[in-house]
Amino acid sequence: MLQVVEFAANGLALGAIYALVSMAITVIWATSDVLDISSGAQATFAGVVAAAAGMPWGPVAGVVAGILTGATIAGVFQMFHLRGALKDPVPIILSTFAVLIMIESAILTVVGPEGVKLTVVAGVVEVGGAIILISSLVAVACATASLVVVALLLRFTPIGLNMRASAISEKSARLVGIAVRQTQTFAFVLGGVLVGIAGVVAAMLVGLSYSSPFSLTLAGLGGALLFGRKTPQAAFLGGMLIGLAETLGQAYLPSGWSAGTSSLVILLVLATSRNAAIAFSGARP
Amino acid sequence: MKIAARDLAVRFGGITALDGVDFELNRGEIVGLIGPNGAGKTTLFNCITGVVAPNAGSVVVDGADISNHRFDLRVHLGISRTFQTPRVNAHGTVLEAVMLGFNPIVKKPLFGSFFGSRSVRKAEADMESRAHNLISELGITTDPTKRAGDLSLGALRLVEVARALAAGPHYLLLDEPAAGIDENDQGVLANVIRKAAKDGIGVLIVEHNVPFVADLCGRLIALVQGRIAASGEPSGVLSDPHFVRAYLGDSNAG
Amino acid sequence: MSKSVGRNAGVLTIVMLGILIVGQGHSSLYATAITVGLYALLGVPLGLIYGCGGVLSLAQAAFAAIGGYASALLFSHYHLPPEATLLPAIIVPALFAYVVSRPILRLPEMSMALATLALGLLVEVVFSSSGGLTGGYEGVTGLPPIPIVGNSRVGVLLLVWSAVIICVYCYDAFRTSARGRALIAIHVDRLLAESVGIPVARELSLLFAITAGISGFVGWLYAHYLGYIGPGSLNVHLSANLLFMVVVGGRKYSLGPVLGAAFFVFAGDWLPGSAQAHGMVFGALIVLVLLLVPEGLLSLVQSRFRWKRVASRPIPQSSQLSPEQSL
Ligand SMILES: Nc1ncnc2c1ncn2[C@@H]1O[C@H](COP(=O)(O)OP(=O)(O)OP(=O)(O)O)[C@@H](O)[C@H]1O
Ligand SMILES: [Mg+2]
Repeated sequence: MLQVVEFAANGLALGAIYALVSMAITVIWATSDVLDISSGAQATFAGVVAAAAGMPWGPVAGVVAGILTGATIAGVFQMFHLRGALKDPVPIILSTFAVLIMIESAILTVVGPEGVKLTVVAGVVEVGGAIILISSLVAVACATASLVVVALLLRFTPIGLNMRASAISEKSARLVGIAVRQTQTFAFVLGGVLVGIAGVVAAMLVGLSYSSPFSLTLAGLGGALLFGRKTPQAAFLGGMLIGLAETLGQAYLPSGWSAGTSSLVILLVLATSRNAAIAFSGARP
Repeated sequence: MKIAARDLAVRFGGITALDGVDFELNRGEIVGLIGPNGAGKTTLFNCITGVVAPNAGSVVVDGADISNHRFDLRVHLGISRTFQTPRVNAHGTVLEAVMLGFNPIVKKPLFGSFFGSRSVRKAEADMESRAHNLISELGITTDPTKRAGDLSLGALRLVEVARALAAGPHYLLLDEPAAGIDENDQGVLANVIRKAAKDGIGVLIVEHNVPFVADLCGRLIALVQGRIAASGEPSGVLSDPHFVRAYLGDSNAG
Repeated sequence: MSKSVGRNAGVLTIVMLGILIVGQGHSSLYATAITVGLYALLGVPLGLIYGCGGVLSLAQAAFAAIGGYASALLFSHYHLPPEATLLPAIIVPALFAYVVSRPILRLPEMSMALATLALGLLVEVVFSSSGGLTGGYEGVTGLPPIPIVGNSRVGVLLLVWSAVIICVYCYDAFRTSARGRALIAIHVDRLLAESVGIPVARELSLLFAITAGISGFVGWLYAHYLGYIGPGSLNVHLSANLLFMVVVGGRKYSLGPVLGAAFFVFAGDWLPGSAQAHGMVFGALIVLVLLLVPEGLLSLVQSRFRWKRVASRPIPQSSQLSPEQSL
């Protein structure tokens, strides 16, 4: 029983990181039809910046770094738009992949092959005998708070309304006078905030290295897909579940196999989705 | 030798697009399918060609039940169709678009295609000249080397008809072939359809242009809200009170 | 139409001869050209299924790895020589691709990319984690050299480039055949393809399996050329790079992937700084090319010829209209 509680705590903490990345991916992709492969890299970059800045300003620096990378991707997106090259989604998605490779290489060059870690809070709490890291609790709290803020933002603010309208149909949103481009830029920046938090949390919880971008992106994608990639709530749940599944895998599978968790989820969800051709039309996976 | 649909029903969620439709199309006959927007005409096409699986009912072609056949297999049984919105490769030429229609009747050996074998190249040259012939036979005046994306809607619809005819079908299903095309093209189209019927092809035409179909077809079927409201001689159908109310009421409102 | 089928293959043959001559004086050129050839051999089939058929695959390197491992494991466990493992190295990945292709290839482009990416990663995880069988992270070493050509650089170069030339020839022949037109139709609009009787799923699976088989052949070449194969050798990053090569070179041309491969390898050789730092420059270069020449570098050369820049026309394409809208 105690073990189960500790397990759940570890899984949910890992899931918190993934949930944040999933939410970023979902928000961006709902409003702009862009599958941002670089999300994991942005998170890693933010985490590395946070670790370099150290406490007390590390978390702030990390989130700022996330916003900057989000804005950069938004800039690339706008340039594609200006070139009139948005009909075909592949080039821009490949570009986000290229950005991922850039960030990986930058981290490898500057930080080296070793990982970095940021200690925000130390210590453990005991809950009925189960020993839980305080940082795990912080991680889950961060993700939950972010979910609440994003959900409220979408539900009750004008910009949130614009985002939801753009998500349903870019064309109709434009017709009713919504500044779709600005809205999309905002979505990228909001995604930047989310991956920034994800990066800080990851730096605090598991540490980050040049190999993190890819696995974070993958887990984020898996989480975003799992429950239907529509709302941040679904993304949150998906990310959490992937975190739990991976923790379970780490405990019970031979070493190395749990790294395949998110891939397996992605593959299974996509391969078994009914009516895939209609359900996932256009650029959206 | 005919297509016979029995008791077709199609539902999309809460919408009943087809509701117990019985229908027949003989070879050599021209039948018009008319009805207001959303009546289920395209859905009936989709059921017959296998794009949509009906919730109930069966489709029998030349005595064989093909209800469970896939779309692409039914083409090989001699059912060709066009689409309400023309579907072509905009970047290819008119000639290539028509040549695509020969697909069911050409041999396409895998290794021959990759290594450009003599027989494949010969078949290719053959097909090219047959496509040229077909285009001129149908009276299509468009330059075959033109990009399909540069064509007018009328020319595009004619190219689609040519593509559908290329496979040598027994049944030809045309979804609003005369919509949005000029009189000249309509004349060409009418000739093409008559000639096809004379060659023993059964033609089913969905059309909102009632004078066009009434003139062309020996028999009309009026579909209203997924049911057959009237069918038979054009004059009889067009004066059927039930149908007139549904159709004209609809178009008056719109 | 069929007159120019051999042209690109001819151009490539001349390039190969040029490399053979120039390489006499600069021996490092051979190694570089072999790498370019191996990438091109993976890239050209990908260019065909992606450029013509819209199959966005990020599993090509994984198929190569399966081929390479098939050969390596048959050698290390059963002492089979490379001559005997060639066929399994091609057939195993081809069969695997055929089996997994159905549910993946019905997906639209982006989902397909994601699914193949996940597939590639799973393959990687399997190879690196089944320690006893595959040598785990260390991989398999001490593999014998490629038969006949052995350790001769010139021999390997000739073998690899001949294969590339054949692939390019087949690409061009295929694209101008009825089957090639069918593939393009599938890409433009699956319903259109079905309406002329093309069995879309089977056709795509078949071509996907063929590209996987060719990838398997490359894996075999790779393993026996280097004498080694490991889980990191032919990984997902290579798959992504292959896609970059295809797009950067020009996904609508048979020579596009070859040019892309050359661009990547030569840029890697000439860029200053450590290999680790190259990613930054590469990434930026890729974004620039995608942004400025979306049809690929070859489109700059060939824009005066037949395959023109794609202008947007008001013709419904599968990517713009969903089926229910346009039926
Ligand atoms: N794929 C689909 N999913 C959901 N509803 C559909 C689908 N296809 C058709 N419908 C609905 O079924 C009904 C019949 O549509 P259908 O396209 O067959 O009409 P139609 O007679 O061809 O109309 P039109 O003259 O406008 O072409 C409509 O209410 C339509 O909205
Ligand atoms: Mg219709």
